Amino acid sequence: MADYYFDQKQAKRQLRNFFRSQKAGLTSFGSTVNQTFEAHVFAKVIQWYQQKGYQVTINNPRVNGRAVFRLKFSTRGAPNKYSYATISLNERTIQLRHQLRVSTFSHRRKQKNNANICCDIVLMNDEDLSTFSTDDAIPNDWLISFGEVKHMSAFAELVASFIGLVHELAPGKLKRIRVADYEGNGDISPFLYASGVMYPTAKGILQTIQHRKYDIDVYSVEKPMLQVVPEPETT
Amino acid sequence: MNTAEIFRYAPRYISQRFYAINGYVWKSFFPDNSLNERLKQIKSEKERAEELARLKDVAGEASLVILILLLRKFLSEGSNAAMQAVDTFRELGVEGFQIGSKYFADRNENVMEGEVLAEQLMQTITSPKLLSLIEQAQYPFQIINRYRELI
Repeated sequence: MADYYFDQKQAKRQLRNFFRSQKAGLTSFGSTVNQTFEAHVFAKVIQWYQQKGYQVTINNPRVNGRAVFRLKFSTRGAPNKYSYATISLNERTIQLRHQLRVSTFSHRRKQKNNANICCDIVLMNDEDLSTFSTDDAIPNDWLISFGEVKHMSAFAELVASFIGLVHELAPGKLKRIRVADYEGNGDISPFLYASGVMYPTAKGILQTIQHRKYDIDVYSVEKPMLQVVPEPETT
Repeated sequence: MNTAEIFRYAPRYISQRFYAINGYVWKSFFPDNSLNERLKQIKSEKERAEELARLKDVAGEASLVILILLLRKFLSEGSNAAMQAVDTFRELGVEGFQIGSKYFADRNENVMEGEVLAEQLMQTITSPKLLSLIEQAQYPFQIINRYRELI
């Protein structure tokens, strides 16, 4: 094995030793890192609206008579047992929810099986969900936007799968919307937030999304929400 | 030492996340059919094999730098994510949040866990050149560009 800038064998050995000596810490870190990233993205969406002048209030469930802040890190659980944010500007109020079940755009009330999807981040109309159970989904016309949070690097199939989600939940976003005079509609667009890098295969799909002018975003370590970074190479 | 050996003691979530970096680097250097096109230009089979081995070595070294860069970032951004979440929630009157048995608030050990591990990782690496490559790069494509000079 030829070395170019450094001794590869030594670096590999040191890396292996790091994994061995820090195994307990790495395991502990790994036990919550996915959920921490979800909490982070939930907070990022709050900041996104705050930057646009919205007022944000956190609403907490009562546990043993006391208000407790609880994010919903699971697809199971009734929405009223978890915290959510109320986001208001002038006369308009919307809600930001974590792990909420949403009916798909094509779902019909009388169909045999329900068609709904549990989304990591949901922006919805300001509606009362106090009677909703773990299996209840909000109607699709309450949905304003949504986000999928993946604590991994993005590859083509992940981005394509997200487009599939948008097709089911908000197909209107998959049209030629981001044309020359596009300024956004005031709400965050449906997004996929991958914490890692965009692999070239994912970048390829992303470029076709841009060509098609879809109103969706893919964030990653190279293009985080709310941060200006140098453009990565496009070749 | 091959990739599997590097990850021998790593938790599964780390090996799963970083195992494919070599493929990412290889595809970045040689998209589509460009490697075959390049090797076809070399007439002798022996020289083709030597060139392929050289390219694999370059890609292997670049992959190692990117692996450490991304691992450090992954650990440190775990803390950044926790800090930003904690700070945003605190501004809204929420002191902290619970994930399983861990409570995240201010800059407590759960919030800082990733940053401490990232520092440990950098202390493990002794090559000044490798450290400098990692320190100077923010994103993998910068390392790719650096090694592209050798391709």
